[in-house]
Amino acid sequence: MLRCLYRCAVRLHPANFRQRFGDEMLYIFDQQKGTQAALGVTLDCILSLLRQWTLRPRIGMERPATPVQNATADNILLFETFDAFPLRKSAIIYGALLSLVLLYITVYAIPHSGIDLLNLHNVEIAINSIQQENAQTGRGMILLDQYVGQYISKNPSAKFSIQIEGDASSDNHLSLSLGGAGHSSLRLLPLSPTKFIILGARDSYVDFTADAQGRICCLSLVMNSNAVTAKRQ
Amino acid sequence: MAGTLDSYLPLSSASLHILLALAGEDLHGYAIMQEVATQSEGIYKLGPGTLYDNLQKLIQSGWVQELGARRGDDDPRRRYYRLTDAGREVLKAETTRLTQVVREARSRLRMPSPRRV
Repeated sequence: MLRCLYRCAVRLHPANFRQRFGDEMLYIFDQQKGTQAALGVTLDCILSLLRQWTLRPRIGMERPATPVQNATADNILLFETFDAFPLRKSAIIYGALLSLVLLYITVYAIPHSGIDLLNLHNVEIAINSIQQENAQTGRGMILLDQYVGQYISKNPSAKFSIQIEGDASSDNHLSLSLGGAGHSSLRLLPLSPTKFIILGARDSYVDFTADAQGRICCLSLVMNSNAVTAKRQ
Repeated sequence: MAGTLDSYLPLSSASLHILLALAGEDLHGYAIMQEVATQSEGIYKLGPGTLYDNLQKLIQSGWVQELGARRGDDDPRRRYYRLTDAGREVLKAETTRLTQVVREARSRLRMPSPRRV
């Protein structure tokens, strides 16, 4: 298994290096006694692989047959350019493949990174501590009460119910029922006095609006960039 | 010559040890690794990747010459390497530089010079 990995690492070296030293490198691996020694040799080979492709891109490439003159007869300096070392096609192909693989890994990793869940978890912890504090001081129910009620939307026709759920002493929170009370509810977590995110639903939140007297009069439900406005009954 | 050699100094640890290993006799890659470990009393160990990466540079610089495989050798995959005259000069220059460094260090640290036996 380890020899197979080592052989792969040797094969991935640039062609000129592999052809020159590949067999000897395998010979050295075969001389190693014990897994630990073989592992050390394999790690060194992988480091060499990175070094060869990053730090030694031009070693082994022949210079052009016509030498570059550094000064003309008039003593005007001429500068050597990278044209003397054209990029190899294989290097371009390897580079393109590597870029595609990295892009694929990045695109795949973003939705699976758990960053959203982490943030949501942190928000939940913060909210829970606020709610516990409110419950102890007796302010929790008073604050949440102002949102409770039925909200009706005419276009599209829909009915929403905002209610308080949970143990009144500690875990009381607002919940949203689609289609009125009695239906399955979604837990709301406050971000501000008027904005509540919907737990478990991405990019979804409820925005409450107050009238001139400070009474909550309507809500806007935003789910996946679609907004529905409903008036309080 | 000394002026041009100085531009290559100081040598990396790996290059110095490889040149030093080849100063005695022609060796194949694995023997160079073993010789380096012996020279440094096991403190410095070269891996094959580091060895051939440095050998490639040394061959490119003309300090080491590749001799190829030997007839009747234990394993046909072995290739032997030889220190060239230019490589020997570089090794001498590096040794002189290191001697000066050691002398300066002993002077500043007020350490006694080692006795000659």
